[in-house]
This record gives sequence, structure tokens and C-alpha cells, in this order.
Amino acid sequence: MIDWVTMIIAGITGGAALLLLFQRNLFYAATLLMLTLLGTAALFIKMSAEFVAISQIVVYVGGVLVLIIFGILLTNRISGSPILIGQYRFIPTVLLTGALFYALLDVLTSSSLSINNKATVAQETVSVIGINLMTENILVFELIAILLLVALVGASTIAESKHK
Amino acid sequence: MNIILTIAAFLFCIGTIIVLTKKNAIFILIGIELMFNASIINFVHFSQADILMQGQMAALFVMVLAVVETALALAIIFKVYKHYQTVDLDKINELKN
Repeated sequence: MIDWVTMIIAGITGGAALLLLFQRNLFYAATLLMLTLLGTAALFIKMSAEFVAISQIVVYVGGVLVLIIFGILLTNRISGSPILIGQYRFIPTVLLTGALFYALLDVLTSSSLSINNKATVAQETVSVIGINLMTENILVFELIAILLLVALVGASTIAESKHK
Repeated sequence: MNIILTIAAFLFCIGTIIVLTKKNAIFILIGIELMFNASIINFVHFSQADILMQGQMAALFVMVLAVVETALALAIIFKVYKHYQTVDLDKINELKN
């Protein structure tokens, strides 16, 4: 049985990524990245990982993408003309990465990586994730919180303008 | 063939091509985000068979790491832009000028 919903969502995600590869306008590329991230969030919902999907939308689409758009606007002189991005070594890189993709597809088709017994069907993901965060993964949780704090303070320190 | 793992591999390859070919530093950041997303898709897919959902935990932590990486990289890109007046990676070829 073919899961048509997953097929359509995956098609939208992959198509947006492919358009992103051939896009020369930087602003359109950011918009296509948003489409790809939203498609990924839909795939997470199909895999019954609702909390990760919501985090994907909040963190990536609401945070990272806004940061990238700020970066685009602050590092280009906006003068009405679109911001076009050049590329180089395109053909050899596509050949090499195509070989990588072929190798990955070969591994995927020849091995039995499919999930046969889904364990999380009748589970509440949010409560399990909350209990995990406070018991088993609390060290990683604290470490990553400190890392985020230090990195954000460091980023604002690096980017500040020194007026003497 | 598993469609979700295939799309994850596809996104990873697209991200690799973008990182290797584009000239703008912010476009390269977009490619890195695509590669992070491919890894997160794999984590979430394989956590479907796990009753403790360790894969989803790893996906959340990778997401936070992506935010950290983006914030720091953009701060460095701003500094480079102030110094060189460009973010074209071909033209940033001097440590000191």
C-alpha cells in the first residue's frame, strides 16, 4: 500500500529543495527554505512526532529563518535590484553528490531499514518527552541550555559595534 | 523503499551541493540548515520503534544546536561584512588588510 499523503508531502518538500538549489535570488531562496521546513514539519506529524513538529515550526520557521532574513537584509545594499548569487564548480559537485545520493539509495533499497512495529502509536509524546527531559536526559538538557546562553551572549558580543 | 529516508537523503545531498557551490555566505548557511533537517528526519523516523523516544530527544537537541550555529555564524558574517563590505566568499581572501 502506498501512503499517498506522505508521498505528496515528500514531493513538495523535495521539489522546494530542488528549486532552492537552482534559485539565484537570495530572498526567494529563503522563502523556499521556509516551504522545505514546513514540509519537514508535516512529515514529522505523519510520523506521529507532534512535539518535534511544533518545535520545528517555532524554532526553525519562526527563529532561524527570521535570523537568516535579517542577515540577508543587513549584508546587502538594497537598491531595488534583486540579490543574485553566483555559483562555481557546479557540474562536478552535482556529479559527486549524485554519486553519494545513489550510494545512499542503494543502501536504503538493499537493507531492511523499515520500521515494522511502531511503538509510539497510542502514546502521548509530550508527556514522554517531558519525563525524559527531567530524568534521563537532564544532563544534556542543562548542558545545551548553558551552551545556548553562552552562544547567544557571545554572538551579541561579536556583532556589537564599538563606539569609542 | 522507504520514502521518508529517501527524502532525508535527498535533502542532505541538496544541502551538500549548496554548501559546496554557492558563493554567498548566507546561502551556505541555508544549505547547512537543510543538512541539519535531513539528520533530524532520520532521528525522528527511527525513534518510531522506540518506546522511550530517544530519537525525538536527539532531534530536539540537534534543533537547539542549529539555532546556536546560525546565531554565531550570522554574528561572524556581520563582522566580516563590516570589514570587507561583502559576503562573497571568493573576495574574502586576506586575513589582514
